[in-house]
Amino acid sequence: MKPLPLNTSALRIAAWCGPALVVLFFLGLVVIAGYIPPPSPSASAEQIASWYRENTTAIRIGLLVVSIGVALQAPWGASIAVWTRRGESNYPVLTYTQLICLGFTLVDAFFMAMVWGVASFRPDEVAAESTRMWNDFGWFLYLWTWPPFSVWCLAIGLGIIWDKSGAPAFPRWFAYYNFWIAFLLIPAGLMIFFKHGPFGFNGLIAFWMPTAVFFVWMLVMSWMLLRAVSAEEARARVPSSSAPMDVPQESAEHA
Amino acid sequence: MEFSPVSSPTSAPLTEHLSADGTQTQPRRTTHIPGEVGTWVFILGDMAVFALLFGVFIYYRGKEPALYAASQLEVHRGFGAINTLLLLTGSLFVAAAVQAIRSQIRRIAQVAIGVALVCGAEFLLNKILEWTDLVANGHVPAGNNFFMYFFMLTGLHAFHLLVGLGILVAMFALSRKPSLSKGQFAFFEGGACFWHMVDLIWVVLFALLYLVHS
Repeated sequence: MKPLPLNTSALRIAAWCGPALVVLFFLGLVVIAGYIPPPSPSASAEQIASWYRENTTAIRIGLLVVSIGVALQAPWGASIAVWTRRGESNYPVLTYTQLICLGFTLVDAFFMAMVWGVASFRPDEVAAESTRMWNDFGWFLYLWTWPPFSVWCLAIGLGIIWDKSGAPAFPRWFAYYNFWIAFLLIPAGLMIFFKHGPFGFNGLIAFWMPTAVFFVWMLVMSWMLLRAVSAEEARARVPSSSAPMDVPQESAEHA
Repeated sequence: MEFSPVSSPTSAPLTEHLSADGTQTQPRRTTHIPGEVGTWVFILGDMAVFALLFGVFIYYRGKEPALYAASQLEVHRGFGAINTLLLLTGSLFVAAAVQAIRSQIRRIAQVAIGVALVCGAEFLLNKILEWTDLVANGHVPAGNNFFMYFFMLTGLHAFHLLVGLGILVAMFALSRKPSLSKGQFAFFEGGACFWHMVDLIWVVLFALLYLVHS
Protein backbone atom coordinates (compact mmCIF):
# COMPACT_ATOMS: atom_id res chain seq x y z
CA MET A 1 0.00 0.00 0.00
CA LYS A 2 1.33 3.39 -0.95
CA PRO A 3 1.76 5.62 2.10
CA LEU A 4 -0.56 8.59 2.25
CA PRO A 5 0.98 12.04 1.86
CA LEU A 6 2.21 13.67 5.03
CA ASN A 7 -0.23 16.09 6.68
CA THR A 8 2.09 18.48 8.42
CA SER A 9 -0.70 20.94 9.25
CA ALA A 10 -2.32 18.50 11.66
CA LEU A 11 1.03 17.68 13.25
CA ARG A 12 1.94 21.34 13.62
CA ILE A 13 -1.43 22.28 15.14
CA ALA A 14 -1.09 19.39 17.60
CA ALA A 15 2.41 20.53 18.57
CA TRP A 16 1.26 24.13 19.10
CA CYS A 17 -1.46 22.88 21.46
CA GLY A 18 1.35 22.47 24.03
CA PRO A 19 2.32 26.15 24.31
CA ALA A 20 -1.37 27.08 24.05
CA LEU A 21 -2.10 24.84 27.05
CA VAL A 22 0.72 26.42 29.05
CA VAL A 23 -0.59 29.92 28.25
CA LEU A 24 -4.18 29.01 29.17
CA PHE A 25 -3.05 27.38 32.42
CA PHE A 26 -0.98 30.44 33.27
CA LEU A 27 -3.86 32.80 32.47
CA GLY A 28 -6.42 30.69 34.32
CA LEU A 29 -4.51 29.62 37.41
CA VAL A 30 -2.13 32.53 37.92
CA VAL A 31 -3.61 35.66 36.37
CA ILE A 32 -7.39 35.25 36.62
CA ALA A 33 -8.27 32.82 39.43
CA GLY A 34 -5.13 33.22 41.53
CA TYR A 35 -4.59 29.59 42.56
CA ILE A 36 -0.86 30.09 42.07
CA PRO A 37 0.94 30.88 44.33
CA PRO A 38 -1.03 28.23 46.26
CA PRO A 39 -2.72 28.92 49.59
CA SER A 40 -1.04 27.51 52.67
CA PRO A 41 -2.09 23.92 53.51
CA SER A 42 -2.36 25.12 57.11
CA ALA A 43 -4.82 27.93 56.27
CA SER A 44 -8.01 27.77 58.31
CA ALA A 45 -11.28 26.63 56.75
CA GLU A 46 -12.61 30.16 57.21
CA GLN A 47 -9.65 31.71 55.34
CA ILE A 48 -10.10 29.33 52.39
CA ALA A 49 -13.88 29.74 52.32
CA SER A 50 -13.69 33.53 52.43
CA TRP A 51 -11.21 33.51 49.53
CA TYR A 52 -13.78 31.56 47.49
CA ARG A 53 -16.58 33.89 48.63
CA GLU A 54 -14.72 37.07 47.77
CA ASN A 55 -13.27 35.98 44.43
CA THR A 56 -16.05 33.72 43.18
CA THR A 57 -16.41 35.14 39.67
CA ALA A 58 -12.67 35.42 38.97
CA ILE A 59 -12.17 31.87 40.18
CA ARG A 60 -14.95 30.54 37.94
CA ILE A 61 -13.64 32.35 34.86
CA GLY A 62 -10.10 31.20 35.55
CA LEU A 63 -11.19 27.58 35.94
CA LEU A 64 -13.18 27.74 32.71
CA VAL A 65 -10.04 28.90 30.91
CA VAL A 66 -8.04 26.08 32.51
CA SER A 67 -10.59 23.45 31.53
CA ILE A 68 -10.33 24.59 27.90
CA GLY A 69 -6.55 24.35 28.15
CA VAL A 70 -6.77 20.81 29.51
CA ALA A 71 -8.56 19.61 26.37
CA LEU A 72 -5.59 20.69 24.25
CA GLN A 73 -3.54 18.02 25.97
CA ALA A 74 -5.30 15.39 23.83
CA PRO A 75 -3.89 16.39 20.42
CA TRP A 76 -0.58 17.42 21.98
CA GLY A 77 -0.02 14.10 23.76
CA ALA A 78 -1.21 12.12 20.74
CA SER A 79 1.31 13.91 18.56
CA ILE A 80 4.16 12.77 20.87
CA ALA A 81 2.93 9.20 20.61
CA VAL A 82 2.88 9.15 16.79
CA TRP A 83 6.56 10.03 16.65
CA THR A 84 7.72 7.38 19.09
CA ARG A 85 5.25 4.90 17.54
CA ARG A 86 7.28 5.13 14.34
CA GLY A 87 10.34 3.78 16.14
CA GLU A 88 8.52 0.86 17.78
CA SER A 89 7.82 -2.62 16.43
CA ASN A 90 4.38 -4.08 15.82
CA TYR A 91 4.08 -4.48 19.58
CA PRO A 92 4.00 -0.81 20.52
CA VAL A 93 3.71 -1.18 24.28
CA LEU A 94 5.45 2.13 25.00
CA THR A 95 3.06 3.99 22.71
CA TYR A 96 0.04 2.42 24.38
CA THR A 97 1.52 3.26 27.79
CA GLN A 98 1.86 6.88 26.70
CA LEU A 99 -1.73 7.00 25.50
CA ILE A 100 -3.13 5.50 28.69
CA CYS A 101 -1.11 7.92 30.83
CA LEU A 102 -2.18 10.77 28.56
CA GLY A 103 -5.81 9.82 29.03
CA PHE A 104 -5.42 9.62 32.78
CA THR A 105 -3.52 12.89 33.13
CA LEU A 106 -6.07 14.71 30.97
CA VAL A 107 -8.95 13.48 33.14
CA ASP A 108 -6.91 14.29 36.23
CA ALA A 109 -6.26 17.89 35.18
CA PHE A 110 -9.88 18.31 34.13
CA PHE A 111 -11.08 17.03 37.49
CA MET A 112 -8.73 19.42 39.24
CA ALA A 113 -10.48 22.34 37.54
CA MET A 114 -13.90 20.79 38.14
CA VAL A 115 -13.34 20.07 41.84
CA TRP A 116 -12.22 23.64 42.41
CA GLY A 117 -15.21 24.68 40.35
CA VAL A 118 -17.48 22.83 42.78
CA ALA A 119 -15.77 24.67 45.66
CA SER A 120 -16.56 27.96 43.94
CA PHE A 121 -20.16 26.95 43.12
CA ARG A 122 -21.85 27.94 46.40
CA PRO A 123 -19.15 28.90 48.90
CA ASP A 124 -21.57 31.11 50.81
CA GLU A 125 -24.10 28.29 51.38
CA VAL A 126 -21.95 25.34 52.45
CA ALA A 127 -19.84 25.00 55.59
CA ALA A 128 -16.33 26.44 55.37
CA GLU A 129 -14.87 22.98 56.09
CA SER A 130 -16.58 21.61 52.96
CA THR A 131 -15.13 24.34 50.80
CA ARG A 132 -11.68 23.69 52.21
CA MET A 133 -12.04 19.97 51.59
CA TRP A 134 -12.85 20.55 47.91
CA ASN A 135 -9.97 22.99 47.73
CA ASP A 136 -7.62 20.38 49.25
CA PHE A 137 -8.99 17.76 46.87
CA GLY A 138 -8.03 20.00 43.94
CA TRP A 139 -4.45 20.25 45.20
CA PHE A 140 -4.34 16.48 45.54
CA LEU A 141 -5.41 16.20 41.91
CA TYR A 142 -2.66 18.66 41.00
CA LEU A 143 0.27 17.04 42.87
CA TRP A 144 -0.66 13.68 44.38
CA THR A 145 -1.32 12.25 40.91
CA TRP A 146 2.33 12.48 39.80
CA PRO A 147 3.02 8.75 39.13
CA PRO A 148 1.19 8.47 35.77
CA PHE A 149 2.93 11.70 34.68
CA SER A 150 6.28 10.12 35.53
CA VAL A 151 5.41 6.89 33.72
CA TRP A 152 4.35 8.98 30.72
CA CYS A 153 7.78 10.67 30.65
CA LEU A 154 9.55 7.33 31.09
CA ALA A 155 7.58 5.80 28.20
CA ILE A 156 8.50 8.73 25.95
CA GLY A 157 12.17 8.53 26.98
CA LEU A 158 12.39 4.77 26.43
CA GLY A 159 10.62 5.18 23.09
CA ILE A 160 13.37 7.57 22.03
CA ILE A 161 16.22 5.39 23.36
CA TRP A 162 14.85 2.25 21.69
CA ASP A 163 13.85 3.91 18.41
CA LYS A 164 14.41 1.34 15.68
CA SER A 165 13.33 3.49 12.73
CA GLY A 166 16.84 4.52 11.70
CA ALA A 167 15.72 8.16 11.52
CA PRO A 168 14.69 9.02 15.08
CA ALA A 169 12.35 11.97 15.46
CA PHE A 170 14.04 13.17 18.66
CA PRO A 171 17.70 13.43 19.70
CA ARG A 172 18.89 10.88 22.23
CA TRP A 173 19.75 13.40 24.95
CA PHE A 174 16.09 14.36 24.96
CA ALA A 175 15.28 10.86 26.26
CA TYR A 176 17.39 11.54 29.33
CA TYR A 177 15.70 14.89 29.77
CA ASN A 178 12.41 12.98 29.96
CA PHE A 179 13.88 10.57 32.54
CA TRP A 180 14.98 13.57 34.57
CA ILE A 181 11.47 15.03 34.52
CA ALA A 182 10.08 11.66 35.64
CA PHE A 183 12.41 11.81 38.66
CA LEU A 184 11.70 15.46 39.40
CA LEU A 185 7.98 14.87 39.81
CA ILE A 186 8.57 12.41 42.67
CA PRO A 187 8.66 14.99 45.53
CA ALA A 188 5.10 16.07 44.64
CA GLY A 189 3.91 12.91 46.40
CA LEU A 190 5.31 14.18 49.71
CA MET A 191 2.56 16.78 49.93
CA ILE A 192 0.28 14.30 51.70
CA PHE A 193 2.52 14.38 54.80
CA PHE A 194 2.89 18.12 55.34
CA LYS A 195 0.84 21.17 56.21
CA HIS A 196 3.74 23.63 55.99
CA GLY A 197 7.31 23.94 54.75
CA PRO A 198 8.97 23.02 51.44
CA PHE A 199 7.11 19.69 51.12
CA GLY A 200 3.63 21.12 51.65
CA PHE A 201 1.39 21.70 48.62
CA ASN A 202 2.59 25.29 48.44
CA GLY A 203 6.25 24.38 49.09
CA LEU A 204 9.40 24.78 47.04
CA ILE A 205 10.11 21.06 46.65
CA ALA A 206 6.62 19.59 46.42
CA PHE A 207 4.97 22.34 44.37
CA TRP A 208 7.27 24.87 42.72
CA MET A 209 9.94 22.51 41.46
CA PRO A 210 7.62 19.92 39.85
CA THR A 211 5.37 22.67 38.47
CA ALA A 212 8.23 24.64 36.94
CA VAL A 213 9.97 21.66 35.37
CA PHE A 214 6.73 20.17 34.07
CA PHE A 215 5.57 23.27 32.21
CA VAL A 216 9.07 23.97 30.87
CA TRP A 217 9.10 20.34 29.73
CA MET A 218 5.85 20.95 27.82
CA LEU A 219 7.44 23.89 26.01
CA VAL A 220 10.67 22.03 25.20
CA MET A 221 8.63 19.02 24.06
CA SER A 222 6.53 21.25 21.78
CA TRP A 223 9.66 22.70 20.25
CA MET A 224 11.00 19.16 19.66
CA LEU A 225 7.69 18.20 18.02
CA LEU A 226 7.87 21.14 15.61
CA ARG A 227 11.48 20.25 14.83
CA ALA A 228 10.43 16.66 14.09
CA VAL A 229 7.68 17.86 11.72
CA SER A 230 10.16 19.99 9.76
CA ALA A 231 12.63 17.12 9.54
CA GLU A 232 9.91 14.77 8.32
CA GLU A 233 8.87 17.32 5.69
CA ALA A 234 12.43 17.54 4.44
CA ARG A 235 12.67 13.77 4.30
CA ALA A 236 9.38 13.44 2.44
CA ARG A 237 10.61 15.86 -0.24
CA VAL A 238 13.76 13.91 -1.05
CA PRO A 239 12.45 10.92 -3.05
CA SER A 240 10.22 13.00 -5.33
CA SER A 241 12.83 15.60 -6.21
CA SER A 242 15.48 12.83 -6.33
CA ALA A 243 18.19 15.46 -6.31
CA PRO A 244 21.31 13.87 -4.90
CA MET A 245 22.42 17.25 -3.58
CA ASP A 246 19.55 17.18 -1.11
CA VAL A 247 20.80 14.08 0.60
CA PRO A 248 23.66 15.49 2.65
CA GLN A 249 21.46 18.40 3.70
CA GLU A 250 18.76 16.02 4.76
CA SER A 251 21.04 13.83 6.80
CA ALA A 252 22.62 16.88 8.36
CA GLU A 253 19.21 17.91 9.56
CA HIS A 254 18.84 14.64 11.44
CA ALA A 255 22.29 14.66 12.90
CA MET B 1 24.08 10.18 15.03
CA GLU B 2 24.05 12.18 18.21
CA PHE B 3 26.98 10.93 20.15
CA SER B 4 29.47 9.52 17.70
CA PRO B 5 31.85 12.51 17.86
CA VAL B 6 32.30 12.30 21.61
CA SER B 7 31.65 8.69 22.51
CA SER B 8 34.61 7.02 20.94
CA PRO B 9 34.33 3.40 22.06
CA THR B 10 32.67 1.17 19.53
CA SER B 11 32.50 -2.58 19.60
CA ALA B 12 35.71 -2.88 17.64
CA PRO B 13 37.98 -0.21 19.16
CA LEU B 14 37.29 -1.16 22.77
CA THR B 15 40.73 -2.63 23.04
CA GLU B 16 42.33 0.44 21.55
CA HIS B 17 42.73 2.08 24.93
CA LEU B 18 45.18 -0.51 26.10
CA SER B 19 47.72 -2.13 23.89
CA ALA B 20 48.80 -5.72 24.33
CA ASP B 21 51.39 -4.95 26.98
CA GLY B 22 48.92 -2.91 28.97
CA THR B 23 50.38 0.53 28.31
CA GLN B 24 48.12 3.38 27.27
CA THR B 25 47.97 4.10 23.60
CA GLN B 26 47.03 7.41 22.09
CA PRO B 27 44.01 6.75 19.88
CA ARG B 28 41.14 9.24 19.89
CA ARG B 29 41.12 9.78 23.63
CA THR B 30 40.86 13.52 23.29
CA THR B 31 37.21 14.16 24.19
CA HIS B 32 35.78 10.93 25.48
CA ILE B 33 32.69 11.44 27.62
CA PRO B 34 31.77 8.32 29.60
CA GLY B 35 28.36 6.94 28.71
CA GLU B 36 26.50 9.05 26.23
CA VAL B 37 25.93 12.78 26.39
CA GLY B 38 22.32 12.30 27.47
CA THR B 39 23.39 10.44 30.60
CA TRP B 40 24.98 13.66 31.77
CA VAL B 41 21.82 15.65 31.15
CA PHE B 42 20.21 13.33 33.66
CA ILE B 43 23.09 13.15 36.14
CA LEU B 44 23.79 16.88 36.25
CA GLY B 45 20.06 17.58 36.41
CA ASP B 46 19.62 15.19 39.31
CA MET B 47 22.61 16.64 41.15
CA ALA B 48 21.16 20.12 40.67
CA VAL B 49 17.98 18.98 42.42
CA PHE B 50 19.96 17.56 45.33
CA ALA B 51 21.96 20.78 45.51
CA LEU B 52 18.64 22.62 45.83
CA LEU B 53 17.54 20.21 48.58
CA PHE B 54 20.84 20.73 50.44
CA GLY B 55 20.32 24.48 50.17
CA VAL B 56 16.79 24.16 51.58
CA PHE B 57 18.11 22.05 54.45
CA ILE B 58 20.84 24.57 55.29
CA TYR B 59 18.36 27.45 55.09
CA TYR B 60 15.95 25.83 57.56
CA ARG B 61 18.80 24.69 59.80
CA GLY B 62 19.80 28.32 60.08
CA LYS B 63 16.36 29.10 61.49
CA GLU B 64 16.54 26.55 64.34
CA PRO B 65 20.25 25.92 64.96
CA ALA B 66 19.80 24.62 68.52
CA LEU B 67 17.14 22.07 67.54
CA TYR B 68 19.18 20.79 64.59
CA ALA B 69 22.34 20.53 66.67
CA ALA B 70 20.56 18.62 69.45
CA SER B 71 18.74 16.29 67.03
CA GLN B 72 21.91 15.58 65.11
CA LEU B 73 23.44 14.04 68.22
CA GLU B 74 20.63 11.46 68.17
CA VAL B 75 21.58 9.95 64.80
CA HIS B 76 24.22 7.24 64.71
CA ARG B 77 27.42 8.44 63.10
CA GLY B 78 28.63 4.83 63.06
CA PHE B 79 25.90 3.83 60.61
CA GLY B 80 26.72 6.84 58.45
CA ALA B 81 30.44 6.16 58.46
CA ILE B 82 30.07 2.46 57.63
CA ASN B 83 27.66 3.32 54.85
CA THR B 84 30.07 5.89 53.44
CA LEU B 85 32.80 3.27 53.42
CA LEU B 86 30.47 0.77 51.71
CA LEU B 87 29.54 3.18 48.93
CA LEU B 88 33.12 4.33 48.34
CA THR B 89 34.21 0.68 48.12
CA GLY B 90 31.34 -0.04 45.74
CA SER B 91 32.35 2.89 43.56
CA LEU B 92 35.93 1.68 43.42
CA PHE B 93 34.76 -1.74 42.23
CA VAL B 94 32.38 -0.24 39.66
CA ALA B 95 35.27 1.79 38.27
CA ALA B 96 37.38 -1.36 38.19
CA ALA B 97 34.57 -3.15 36.34
CA VAL B 98 34.55 -0.48 33.62
CA GLN B 99 38.32 -0.81 33.23
CA ALA B 100 37.97 -4.60 33.09
CA ILE B 101 35.30 -4.38 30.39
CA ARG B 102 37.48 -1.99 28.41
CA SER B 103 40.30 -4.50 28.64
CA GLN B 104 37.83 -7.28 27.85
CA ILE B 105 38.52 -9.19 31.06
CA ARG B 106 34.92 -10.13 31.66
CA ARG B 107 35.54 -12.38 34.65
CA ILE B 108 36.98 -9.50 36.68
CA ALA B 109 34.16 -7.21 35.59
CA GLN B 110 31.59 -9.72 36.84
CA VAL B 111 33.28 -10.12 40.21
CA ALA B 112 33.72 -6.35 40.61
CA ILE B 113 30.07 -5.65 39.89
CA GLY B 114 29.09 -8.46 42.23
CA VAL B 115 31.08 -6.80 45.02
CA ALA B 116 29.52 -3.41 44.25
CA LEU B 117 26.05 -5.00 44.38
CA VAL B 118 26.78 -6.51 47.78
CA CYS B 119 28.05 -3.12 49.05
CA GLY B 120 24.91 -1.39 47.79
CA ALA B 121 22.56 -4.00 49.26
CA GLU B 122 24.43 -3.84 52.58
CA PHE B 123 24.06 -0.05 52.55
CA LEU B 124 20.32 -0.42 52.12
CA LEU B 125 20.12 -3.00 54.90
CA ASN B 126 22.03 -0.68 57.25
CA LYS B 127 19.74 2.16 56.28
CA ILE B 128 16.64 0.15 57.12
CA LEU B 129 18.16 -0.89 60.50
CA GLU B 130 19.05 2.74 61.17
CA TRP B 131 15.59 4.04 60.28
CA THR B 132 13.92 1.32 62.37
CA ASP B 133 16.11 2.14 65.33
CA LEU B 134 15.43 5.87 65.07
CA VAL B 135 11.68 5.33 64.84
CA ALA B 136 11.81 2.90 67.79
CA ASN B 137 13.47 5.68 69.80
CA GLY B 138 10.67 8.08 68.93
CA HIS B 139 12.53 10.03 66.22
CA VAL B 140 9.84 10.01 63.54
CA PRO B 141 9.71 12.24 60.44
CA ALA B 142 6.84 14.22 61.96
CA GLY B 143 8.81 14.64 65.20
CA ASN B 144 10.74 17.76 64.30
CA ASN B 145 12.14 19.52 61.25
CA PHE B 146 15.56 17.93 61.51
CA PHE B 147 14.13 14.42 61.39
CA MET B 148 11.70 15.39 58.66
CA TYR B 149 14.67 16.37 56.46
CA PHE B 150 16.72 13.43 57.69
CA PHE B 151 14.12 10.89 56.57
CA MET B 152 13.21 12.81 53.38
CA LEU B 153 16.78 13.22 52.18
CA THR B 154 18.00 9.75 53.14
CA GLY B 155 14.78 8.26 51.72
CA LEU B 156 15.17 10.09 48.41
CA HIS B 157 18.79 8.98 48.29
CA ALA B 158 17.83 5.38 49.10
CA PHE B 159 15.37 5.48 46.20
CA HIS B 160 18.22 6.53 43.89
CA LEU B 161 20.34 3.75 45.32
CA LEU B 162 17.56 1.25 44.59
CA VAL B 163 17.46 2.42 40.96
CA GLY B 164 21.26 2.17 40.93
CA LEU B 165 21.10 -1.44 42.14
CA GLY B 166 18.75 -2.23 39.26
CA ILE B 167 21.25 -0.68 36.86
CA LEU B 168 24.08 -2.70 38.44
CA VAL B 169 22.10 -5.90 37.86
CA ALA B 170 21.71 -4.93 34.20
CA MET B 171 25.45 -4.19 34.04
CA PHE B 172 26.17 -7.59 35.55
CA ALA B 173 24.08 -9.20 32.81
CA LEU B 174 26.00 -7.21 30.19
CA SER B 175 29.34 -8.29 31.65
CA ARG B 176 28.40 -11.90 30.97
CA LYS B 177 28.07 -11.26 27.25
CA PRO B 178 30.99 -12.25 25.03
CA SER B 179 31.13 -8.75 23.51
CA LEU B 180 29.30 -5.48 23.88
CA SER B 181 27.84 -3.29 21.17
CA LYS B 182 28.60 0.42 21.16
CA GLY B 183 25.24 1.17 22.78
CA GLN B 184 25.69 -1.50 25.43
CA PHE B 185 29.12 -0.19 26.31
CA ALA B 186 27.73 3.33 26.62
CA PHE B 187 25.05 1.97 28.96
CA PHE B 188 27.74 0.24 31.01
CA GLU B 189 29.73 3.45 31.38
CA GLY B 190 26.63 5.56 31.99
CA GLY B 191 25.44 3.10 34.65
CA ALA B 192 28.81 3.37 36.37
CA CYS B 193 28.53 7.17 36.31
CA PHE B 194 25.05 6.96 37.87
CA TRP B 195 26.46 4.79 40.65
CA HIS B 196 29.23 7.33 41.28
CA MET B 197 26.57 10.05 41.47
CA VAL B 198 24.63 8.08 44.11
CA ASP B 199 27.92 7.77 46.00
CA LEU B 200 28.78 11.46 45.65
CA ILE B 201 25.35 12.58 46.86
CA TRP B 202 25.70 10.32 49.88
CA VAL B 203 29.10 11.78 50.77
CA VAL B 204 27.55 15.26 50.89
CA LEU B 205 24.49 13.96 52.76
CA PHE B 206 26.71 12.21 55.31
CA ALA B 207 28.59 15.43 55.99
CA LEU B 208 25.43 17.52 56.11
CA LEU B 209 23.23 15.26 58.23
CA TYR B 210 25.72 13.49 60.49
CA LEU B 211 28.81 15.68 60.83
CA VAL B 212 28.42 19.41 60.19
CA HIS B 213 27.85 20.95 63.55
CA SER B 214 27.26 24.59 64.30
